[in-house]
This record gives sequence, structure tokens and C-alpha cells, in this order.
Amino acid sequence: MLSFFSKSQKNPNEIVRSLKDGLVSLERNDKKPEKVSEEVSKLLQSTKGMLLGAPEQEPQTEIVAAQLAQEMYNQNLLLIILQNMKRVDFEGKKDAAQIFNIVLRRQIGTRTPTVEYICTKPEILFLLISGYDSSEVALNCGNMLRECIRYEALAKIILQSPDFYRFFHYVEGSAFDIASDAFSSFKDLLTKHKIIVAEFLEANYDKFFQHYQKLLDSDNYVTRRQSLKLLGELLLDRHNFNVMTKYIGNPENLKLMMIMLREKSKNIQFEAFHVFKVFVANPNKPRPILEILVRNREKLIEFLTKFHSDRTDDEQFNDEKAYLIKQIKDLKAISDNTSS
Amino acid sequence: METKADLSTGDSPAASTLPKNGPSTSSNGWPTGPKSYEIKNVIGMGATAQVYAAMCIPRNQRCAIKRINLEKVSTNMEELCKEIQAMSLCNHENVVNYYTSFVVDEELWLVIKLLAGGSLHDIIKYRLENEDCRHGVFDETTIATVLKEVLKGLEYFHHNGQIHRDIKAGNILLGEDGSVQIADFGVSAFIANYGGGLRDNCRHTFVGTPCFMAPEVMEQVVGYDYKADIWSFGITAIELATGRAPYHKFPAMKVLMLTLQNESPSLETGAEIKDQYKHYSKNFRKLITDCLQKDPTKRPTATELLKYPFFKKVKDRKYLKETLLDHGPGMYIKPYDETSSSDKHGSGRFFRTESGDWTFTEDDEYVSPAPTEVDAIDAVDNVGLLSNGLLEETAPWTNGEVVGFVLRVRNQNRELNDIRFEYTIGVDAADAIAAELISAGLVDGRDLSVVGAALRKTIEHPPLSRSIVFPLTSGVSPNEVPDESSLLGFAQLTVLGVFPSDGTSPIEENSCSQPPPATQPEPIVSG
Repeated sequence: MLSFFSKSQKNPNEIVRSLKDGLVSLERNDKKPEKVSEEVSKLLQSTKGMLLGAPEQEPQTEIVAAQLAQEMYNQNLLLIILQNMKRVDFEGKKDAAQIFNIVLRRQIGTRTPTVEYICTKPEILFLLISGYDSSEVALNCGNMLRECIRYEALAKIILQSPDFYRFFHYVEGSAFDIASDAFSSFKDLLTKHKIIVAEFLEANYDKFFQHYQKLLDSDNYVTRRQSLKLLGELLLDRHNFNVMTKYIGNPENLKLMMIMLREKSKNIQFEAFHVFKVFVANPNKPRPILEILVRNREKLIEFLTKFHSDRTDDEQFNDEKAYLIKQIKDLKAISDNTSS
Repeated sequence: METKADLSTGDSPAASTLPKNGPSTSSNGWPTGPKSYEIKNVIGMGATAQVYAAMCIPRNQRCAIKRINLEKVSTNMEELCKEIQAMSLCNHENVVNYYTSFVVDEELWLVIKLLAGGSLHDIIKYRLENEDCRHGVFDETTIATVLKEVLKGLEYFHHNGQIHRDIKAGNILLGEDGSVQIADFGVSAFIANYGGGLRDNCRHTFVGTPCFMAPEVMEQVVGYDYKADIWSFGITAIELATGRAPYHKFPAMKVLMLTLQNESPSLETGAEIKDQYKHYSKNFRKLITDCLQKDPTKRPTATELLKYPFFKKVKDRKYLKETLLDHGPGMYIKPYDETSSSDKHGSGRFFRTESGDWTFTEDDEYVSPAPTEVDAIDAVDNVGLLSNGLLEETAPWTNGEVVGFVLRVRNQNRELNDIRFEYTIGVDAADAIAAELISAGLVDGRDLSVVGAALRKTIEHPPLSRSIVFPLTSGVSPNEVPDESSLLGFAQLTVLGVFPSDGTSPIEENSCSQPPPATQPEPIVSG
């Protein structure tokens, strides 16, 4: 299938080397950058073609794909691609991201060699994260990053690094497309691998929620709404039981949710409800939490009775609401007992 | 295929001199804050979004801004994010350029290229109203030239692994230079049509476009693929020739049934006169037949279609500019049309079919609700308060000005509908319009006086917020609780804009007392 006479169809070793040379040349910005950029894009396209097949190109055999991947590891090509991503043209960036993802997904039996490779080169992950700093590569890097996060070993490296906290900054960025991409990566990190996430949250509870608080207080409506929703999901996940217990034992958190229940936005109110309900449903409410609820008992009952009463078709919500109202009504007895 | 980022397609040469990557600026130098934009007139409106023409002040460049109300995007925020990301990964001369997006309070502002030629749907409407289209709306060369551009855009989508899902004339936009771009990629489910002139939009409620839907999409076959776009493309080809999608006369369910049960449609499907489209060529018919095969695997790809002999006759964008734009309606409201205003029914021109019915069946995008039982004319007489609702002395508008409105109200199926209409100051009467809305089956008969009153009130004292919400006499269904924010038992009336009777340039809707902004504001020098 490979033609010796066709310049564009090189063998895996040649193509990886040419790509590397092209990218290094782009980095040095030497002779004719447009020409080199064009060449790099062509090489990326044919590499993609080798892996995926293209209109006039059959996908190559497993052997070729293996050679290609092996040569990429040997030449450090993934890292070099990422370091020079900005210098690659618009379509080239998309091809590069696709190549990265295909190579990442490679499996030999139960092994995933590229994942193993990246574990030895974690700077690849950190480069991907810092992609959010520059808007021209942010979405391409986000794509690759989420592909990495699917693998527990790689997600763990990110969670354990200080770079993880950069997400709190990125998700609040002013460009919506980038901020929301960063948020989906952030969310994947916190929800894909339950056990390591639970460990992480328990071990870093204070630091994490200190940062998270800023998202809930954000001026940006989308940040507030999305982070509140994610908080609800995190707390209600069984794996995060210890984290939930800690969170719903803090009266400051309860106050925040009660404030958010009254936000102007119906969607934010609704998300706040799903966090608030955990405080009320807790069978072992700590005293400070109990006190707040008892003090606001009448107001809460009145408020909840009217709360989103147009959601008639949402049975679960109405059941939960009725349950909360009953719980709060019954609170008085408890407090009477304790005070008498 | 164009792959180079072409960021200089805008109106201003200043674009390239802007600093890249500022803290609140996206990569291509488009600012991400509302203060950098001057909002001008509304150019389109849907259930969750409005589209405005705007000026990007630091770039001194015109653009369009879709303002999506995120409170109304209740569960699908993540889906919306994904689709905007997909859009920003598109860069092709036949796909509407996405510039940037940012959050302003509860709205998402999507900054995109302004295409001042409007949509092909607008142009078709204009032709149908003003010219003899019995033998087709456009000549074959025009159709081929447009469709080739559309195919190039589709080819790009499909190579990217994306599906457009809503190909139709209303989503094909024209630049002032005759360039053709596909709009509303991906976000079509969330954002209503863009580029429709106000007058045109009068006929729309956004209930989807079943006329263009491929059979496999209707059957909800899991994982339908890009071949669904090819079907819609075939229907669009028919639309460009005949002015309508083949089953435009029928309600949605009927369209689904006809599409699934009948032979695939052709140019003749919607014909009313024998041989009226006879002169369209074999090559054109072949293109349509091939696209409209029920088995999606048999339909050609965009790339294959581009090689069809039909496209041998294409010309360039200059030709399109001449054939489509130089006689077209433009994006803004057309000059007041004397022939239709002499219609003795006065206010109904925007809704009516040629026979004067308020049936909407003419419109291929609207699915007409069943008419109500109430006889509106009787109601008008009985109420008796239906004198001319207009107090000319206090009205802030002058006679002859056309005010665009949208009434958002639930239909019998409790779905929100946006009913657009125009009100000519000094010609129309609020209660007469209310009565017409009722006789068209769009508003419950019991709401005659409240709708009339709301309209009258808005005309006399335009609300600062452009919009009022008022309770309906018809109330709510037995299982509903009245709620203002979700318009249960309430309706919302919004002033879209004001249009002088004689000109094409609309006055900004919330500053009626100011002179209309010039179409080309003073350039502002950027640092």
C-alpha cells in the first residue's frame, strides 16, 4: 500500500521524525514559517490518515499503528506537539488532538501503553492544563485532557498535583467557551473515578472547599449555577459519604444554601434545594445545624410550601419537598425535648 | 478546503492590529465583556434568544450577538456548552464565523459574524410576495451556486464528524458580498433562527422544522448520522425552486406521516398547477432524487454531491449578489409595502395568506394549532369597547411607523408560542389585532380583552423594559398553578422594535426618542 514514490506517504518512523523536525523548526521560527506550518499540517493529516483512514487512504494495520506509537514515545513527539500547539494552524490543531487521543486509547490486551508512557512524562498533563491559559489552544487541549482524565492513573496525577487548583481559576474565565470547557474537565476529574476522588476530597477537605466556596460566590451566573449543581452531585454520591457528613455539619454551609434558595434565578434555587435537602434529611444533625433550622422553622415551612410549586410533573421533587416540610415540622418536638 | 483562519473577513482593517490574548479578550481579539459592544436593532427572535446587530467598539467592526437567556435553558446547560465548543472549532468560509461568547448576568452572549443579506428564507418570502413565482423562485444557476456553497460547508461539518441537523433555507445566510454561510450549527436546538427579518419572523413560532426532517430522524432510529443532513439538503433544494418545503401545508404530525408513508417528495409534490416547474433540468432533479432516498446509506455524501453535473453551471458570489441581494429584502425590515397595506383588513398582512386567512398554513415552519371554538368576530361586537385603541396624542410614535411585537403565550397543548406581528401606528387597532389573533386560533377567545388592553397599553406607554407580563382571563389548566415567570396563566408582550414607515433602517427599540443610528457609526480608534 505504501508507495515509495509518493512523498506524502512515509513510513511511521519517517513521518514521526519529519513531524518532529517540522515542529522544532516552527519553534525556532527559522526559515519560511508558513511553508513549514503547511508541511506540519500535511504531516499531521497523513498521520491521522494512517491511524483512522481517510477518503483516499485505508487505515493502516495494527503493526503500523504500533510502530507509529512506539516512535512517538521514542521521539517524545506528544510532548513536542503540545509545546508547539500554538504554532500549528487551525485544522492542524484539531488533527493533532485527534492523533493524541487515538494513540492514548491504544490497548495491548489489558495494557494501555500510552497511559503508561504519560505516567512517566506527567509534564504532558500539566502542559494540557496550562492550555487553558491561551485561548487559541484551550479547546484542543481540553479535548485531550478529558481523554486523559478517563484513565484513573492520569486523573490521579492531576488530583495530587498543585496544578489541580488552577482549574478554580480557569472555570471563571471570561470567555464562556473556554471556561465551560475547563469546567467539564474539572467535573470529570471529580466524578469519573469515585474512589480516588473520595480519598482526595477527604485528605484535602479544607483547601478544596475553601477554593470551591469562591465558585459558589462567583459573580458569574454560569459558574455559580454549575458549581452548585456539581456540589449537589458530589455530596449525594455514596463514595463521598465522609465528605458529605463533614460538609453538612458546618452551619456556614447551611446558611449559604438557605441564601441560595432565595436567589433570583430559579435554576440556582433549584440546585440549592438539592444541597439543602441533605442538611435537613441528615438523621444526626449537629446542634448548630439544628438550631438554625429550628429558629427558622416557620419561615422555612412557609417558604418550602410555595417553593417551585409549578413543578407539578416532577414527582421526585415534590416527594422530597413534602418530606423536608414534614422533617422541619417535626423539628420542634425535638428541640422542646432537648430544652425541657 | 479553506483551513487558514480567516479573521479579517470582517468590515474593519483594524482587526489585525489588535493585541492578542488580552485578559478579557479571546484569541482572535474579540472582547469578552458587554461594554465593548454597542447593541443595535433586533434582527431575530426566538423562544430563548434574541439576535441583535451590534458594533464591537474596540474593533470598530459590526457583528451579530445572540443573547440566550440561560434561565430558560433549564436542564441542558452542558449540552449548550458542548455545542458552543463545537462551533468554535469550526473555521470555514461557508460556516458562520463564531467570534466569542461570554456571560452577562443570566444571559449568554454569542458573538458571530453579521450577515447583512439575511437568510434565503427571507429572500424567498420577499419574492413570493412581490413577484410571480409560479414557475419557480430562483433560476437554476442561482440555486446551483447557492447549493454548492452549502455543500462545501456541509462537507466541512461532516469531515469534522459533526452533523448540522437543521439545514433549510432559513439557516442559509448571505453576506453583503453574496457569500453563503450555514448558520445555527449545533445550537439550533437552543437558539431560534437567526437572520430573519422582523417581518418574516412574524410568521414563525419555533416548533421545529419537520418538513425538512429525514425519515430516519422521525423514526428516531438510534444514532442517525450525517446522511440526515443530506435529506434536509434535498428538501432545501426543493424549497429554493418552489419557495416551500414539499409538505409545508400540513401540521407536524401529518408531515411525519407523509414523509414516512409516501414516495419521497419531488419538485412536483407541492405543485398546484400542472407542469409549473417543468423547466427545471434533469440534472437538478437527479440531485434531488438522490438526496431524498429513504435509505440513508444510498444517499450520496456531500463530497460526492459536489461532483454532480448540476454544479457545472455555478457562478460566483458576485452573481448571487446581483440575483439575490440587489432586489432582495435585506436583513432589516423592508420598506412599508403599499400593496399589502391597502389590504382592507389592515393589520393582518403579516400573518395572512393571500386569501386573507390567518391560518399560517402558508408557512413551512409553523404548525398551526387547531382553531378555537370561539367566534372572535362575535366577541368583538359583544365586548363593545373595541373602539380604536390608539390615543394618538399620547402615543410616543408617529403615524405610519411600524412597531414589531411578539406575544408569548401558551397554546392549547400548553407549549409556549411566540407570535410575531406588526402594528402600524395610526392604521391598526389594538383590539382588532387581538381579535385577529383569536380568530387565527392563536389566543384563547376569553383573552380578547386582556390581550387588546395589553397591546393598547404598550402602544400608549411603551414599557422601559420593552416587555410586559399580564394575567390571562383564560387562566390555567386544572393541573396547573398560575405562575408569572413560566407564563402559566400569564402572557408576555414584547416590543421588538420600531420601524419608520418610509425607510429601511430600524430605530433602536428602547430609545424611541432618539434618531435612528446610522448604519455605519463613527469609527472609534482603538488603542
